[in-house]
Amino acid sequence: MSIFADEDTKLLIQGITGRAASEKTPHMIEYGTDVVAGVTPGKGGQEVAGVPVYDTVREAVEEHPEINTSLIYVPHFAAKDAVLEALNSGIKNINITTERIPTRDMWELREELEKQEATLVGPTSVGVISPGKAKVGPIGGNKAEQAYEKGSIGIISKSGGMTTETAQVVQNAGFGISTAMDIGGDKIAGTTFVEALQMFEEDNQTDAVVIFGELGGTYENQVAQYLDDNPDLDLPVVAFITGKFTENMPTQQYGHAGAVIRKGQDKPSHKEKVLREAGAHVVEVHHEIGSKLDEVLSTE
Amino acid sequence: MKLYENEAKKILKENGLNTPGQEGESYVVKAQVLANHRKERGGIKFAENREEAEKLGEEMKGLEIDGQEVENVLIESQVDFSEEYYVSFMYDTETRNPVMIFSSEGGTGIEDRKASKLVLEDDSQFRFRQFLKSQGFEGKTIIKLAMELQDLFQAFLQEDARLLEVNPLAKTVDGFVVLDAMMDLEEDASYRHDRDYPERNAEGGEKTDREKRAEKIDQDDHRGVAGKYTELDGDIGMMLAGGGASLTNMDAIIEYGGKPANYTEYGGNPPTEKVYKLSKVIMSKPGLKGLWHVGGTANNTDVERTMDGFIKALQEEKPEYPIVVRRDGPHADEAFEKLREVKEELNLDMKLFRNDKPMTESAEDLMEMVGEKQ
Repeated sequence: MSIFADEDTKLLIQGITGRAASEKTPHMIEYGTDVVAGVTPGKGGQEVAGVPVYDTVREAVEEHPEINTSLIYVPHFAAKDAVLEALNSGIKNINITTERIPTRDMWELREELEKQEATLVGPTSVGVISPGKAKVGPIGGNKAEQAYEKGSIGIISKSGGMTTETAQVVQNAGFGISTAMDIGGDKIAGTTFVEALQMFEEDNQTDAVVIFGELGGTYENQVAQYLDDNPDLDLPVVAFITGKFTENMPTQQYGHAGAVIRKGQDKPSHKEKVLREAGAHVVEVHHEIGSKLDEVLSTE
Repeated sequence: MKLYENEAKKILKENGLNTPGQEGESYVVKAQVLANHRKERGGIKFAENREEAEKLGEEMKGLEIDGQEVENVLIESQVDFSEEYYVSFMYDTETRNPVMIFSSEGGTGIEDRKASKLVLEDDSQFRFRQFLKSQGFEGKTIIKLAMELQDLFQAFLQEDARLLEVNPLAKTVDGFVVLDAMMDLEEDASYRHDRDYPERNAEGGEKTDREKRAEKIDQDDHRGVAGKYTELDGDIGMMLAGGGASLTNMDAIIEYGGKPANYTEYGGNPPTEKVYKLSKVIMSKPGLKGLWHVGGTANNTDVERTMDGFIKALQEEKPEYPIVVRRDGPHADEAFEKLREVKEELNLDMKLFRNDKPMTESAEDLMEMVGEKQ
């Protein structure tokens, strides 16, 4: 098994004729992802890397009823509509590459996603890769087979570039990856660390999960809460939180809302503290993720 | 984009909210800077008449508040009020919804008083009535204040704000009035708003010459990003690629005892010339004891094209301090061949690593080299 992307993934790419999407589509196909169709309104009938393009998602799904996942690669002003279009055609697994989607749009989408019990990864996600099976999104570029080796470690990351770098330190320690997922660093995440962790819990291929977190927001703190609430969880969590140096940089206050509501909980040092207290294995320097995994899994 | 008070009030007025008038019996003069605690810093003054207000306003201009020079002042009539509330709206990662933060005792010193949070799943008015009832409000105030809070929330949504803070919202005999407002608009949503605000320096403080030089790099050429440069107190030059990686590497160098001379971040496949200019800015800071050029395995950025800019700067600056380069990605073979050549040619104290060396581990290498040099 693995999560979100696997050998059964039948992928639709919305916005496939765009510059970036048309460049990344062949990489996904070469990796082994079954890219069955693309959609760009007004460009139905064209092909991108041999993949047929349709004007609407409905048409694509009618022609290819096996489609079960959509990759959103449209401009930011069209992203909310594209997600609604995918949901409207019954697609329940969605990954958004698009950056800079207004927060309000994501908030408005969240309600619809919950209603339809759909999974959305992103926005601002470089994608999801299950080594040896499939990759959704530009993750790993055109050399994904070199960057990601198959194995038993799950990765959940807020940073695209650091997803691959994290896989590398995991592999240097002699482990491989079950699935690596970039959840993006946006304010309103489609999938949070906890939700991704829950997916990994169900996955018998995954023996431990690495979390790459950063300053801002509280999604990392929710992991600590989740670990506290589930003491029987049989899945070690190794965590690294980036951005500690920013706590010593001068900042200027504009308004009081942040101070009133957050009380410093969005600081990396606070996140490290609560994660550690909850039993997560927190490392101070990024490459220590490898030795920490070794230590944690050999004492299991 | 953070708005000045007068800009925020203008938007709120357009959304049907009340703000103080321009004419009255007495006046308040307010410095338009993006800062808290203006009153304590001499940025808010009161006047008995228009003439005095304008005089105070002129005196206020040029004042420096929280590192920002006062360029504009707002003169408004003073408003009599019986109650002052604190109200703000923002998105909350805890619930992935917008929230309202409210206190029935607004005004200065709000950070030390109790405020309550209301999670807003939508903009229905009943949510505000329920909330106000639970806060101990009675009678008609529940209805009227709920309507006012709903209006504010709708303005927050409609305008695509990241933050809307009204402190205080005043209760007067004529209804509610926004006495002070802060608004941070989301730039990612600017395509659906017709806005044209002048440039502002929200960071405040004086920029160093090197910071100004770096700023120009991105202004002159919009391909990729190579113009973020913040000067710090330390002596290790930081040439950092990639957002998440840059943060991670700053933490790493500090962990190994280094003191960064700067923070920077380049990415998005910038042209050679921009990387050259950024490298020059970083290397031109006096007193450097080491230089770390580090980034992950690039997906998009051409490592040869960007490294060419760094190499050109090395050839001109000929640094004597230790240098560590750790980088990989498209055309890295070619880039590292050129790095080896320049190392030999200039006899540089430079170590070169690809992605078989963990990124953050190369910080330790650099700090060892710096230690040996002392």
